[in-house]
Amino acid sequence: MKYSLRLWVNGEEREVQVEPQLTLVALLRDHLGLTGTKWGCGTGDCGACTVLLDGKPVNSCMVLALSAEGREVVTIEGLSRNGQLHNVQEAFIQHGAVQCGYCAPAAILVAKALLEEHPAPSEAEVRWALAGVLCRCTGYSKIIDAILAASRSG
Amino acid sequence: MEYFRPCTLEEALALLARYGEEALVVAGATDVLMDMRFKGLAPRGLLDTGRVPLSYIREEDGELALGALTTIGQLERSPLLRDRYVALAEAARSFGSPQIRNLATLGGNIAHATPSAEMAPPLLALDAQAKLVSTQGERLVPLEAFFTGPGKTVRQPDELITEFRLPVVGGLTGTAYLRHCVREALDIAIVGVACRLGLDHGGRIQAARIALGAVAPTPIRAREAEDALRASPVNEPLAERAAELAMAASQPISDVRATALYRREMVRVYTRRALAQAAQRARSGG
Repeated sequence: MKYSLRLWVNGEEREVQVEPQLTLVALLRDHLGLTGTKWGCGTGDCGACTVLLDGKPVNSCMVLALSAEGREVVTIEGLSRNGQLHNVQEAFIQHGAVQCGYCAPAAILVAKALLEEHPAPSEAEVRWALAGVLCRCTGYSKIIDAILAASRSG
Repeated sequence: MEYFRPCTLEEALALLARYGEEALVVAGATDVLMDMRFKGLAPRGLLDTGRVPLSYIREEDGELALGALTTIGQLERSPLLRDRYVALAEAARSFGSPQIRNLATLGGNIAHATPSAEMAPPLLALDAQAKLVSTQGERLVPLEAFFTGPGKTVRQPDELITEFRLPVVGGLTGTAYLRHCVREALDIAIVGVACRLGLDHGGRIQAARIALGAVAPTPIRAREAEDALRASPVNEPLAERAAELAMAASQPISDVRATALYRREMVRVYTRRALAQAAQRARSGG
């Protein structure tokens, strides 16, 4: 049985008809074509599906799409403005913090949310914020460097 | 499958009265979605409680009231908890990951009732009661009596946990929560220990609580260990004795994370450490 869902995705109001079991990650990827959000584990462990829900990082594989009714979702696609990258995205590029890219949308969104709440985080706070994003390529150091650099420049 | 999203507690209770077990209660969804995905749970309906206003942390009438839908992240960040009920903030901080903490709820963690339920030991150490409400009325259940087995509680299908209540702590009281774990995040505890110590002005222990998680079919209190502490001044041999009694109270299993033998030993080590921390905090007034 389908239910109507109205939510804000990257500043745009979207209306869809969905089944109750549909997760937010499936809504974003399969229904809205926003494949920047990745599917990694389906158990809330890897963080690749991270999006911002009302400004807070969440695992979108752990959110029922219908729970997002009336709420604001920001995905990686929502970060750049008029072709201009967010300063966190710029920092990731400059510091070589992206290898395969699979965890990058999650790491960038987590960083964006962190810097909005704590504009000058310590390295420990950056590491702590990243606890829910698993990266197999970079060893995290360049991701951390990028985030600290973005905090200094932003 | 049907979907319900009530906006008030009354609406939610009416739905539960009507559908009972056929409506799966969903709060943060972080445990429930796993059950649906991996245990083949296929309920007739999903009862999304996300709009029911049960998210609060406040002191009232000599009690701390915690709304069942308060997220773990809100508990972690609460200045009140960090100041006076530190064990709760520490348990919240060690829960899952930041993303999980923004979704998971206190009520959900307790209702799911795994032996390692992170928030249970500090709630037990603080003498918490769970308020269960249905269209028939409400009841307060001491948390120790709430858990009946792994994943099992006294909650009836038509009941919702609405809040947890515990006595306001005062005076020379200190709490601590420590967990032994392989990783710092996203890992289920091998052992979780919460302690509360209340001292009198002479430095003797007036109140003692030791609660253990992940080492028995349910979260438990180590009552013999608590009794050994009462009316004595805090010192190392006493803490060691209590730690050994706590170890004896635990009934851990061997699993992928650790052997029963190792868990028992870690109960001893972490109880001793948590007692030391609680004592130090009690001396400095919480």
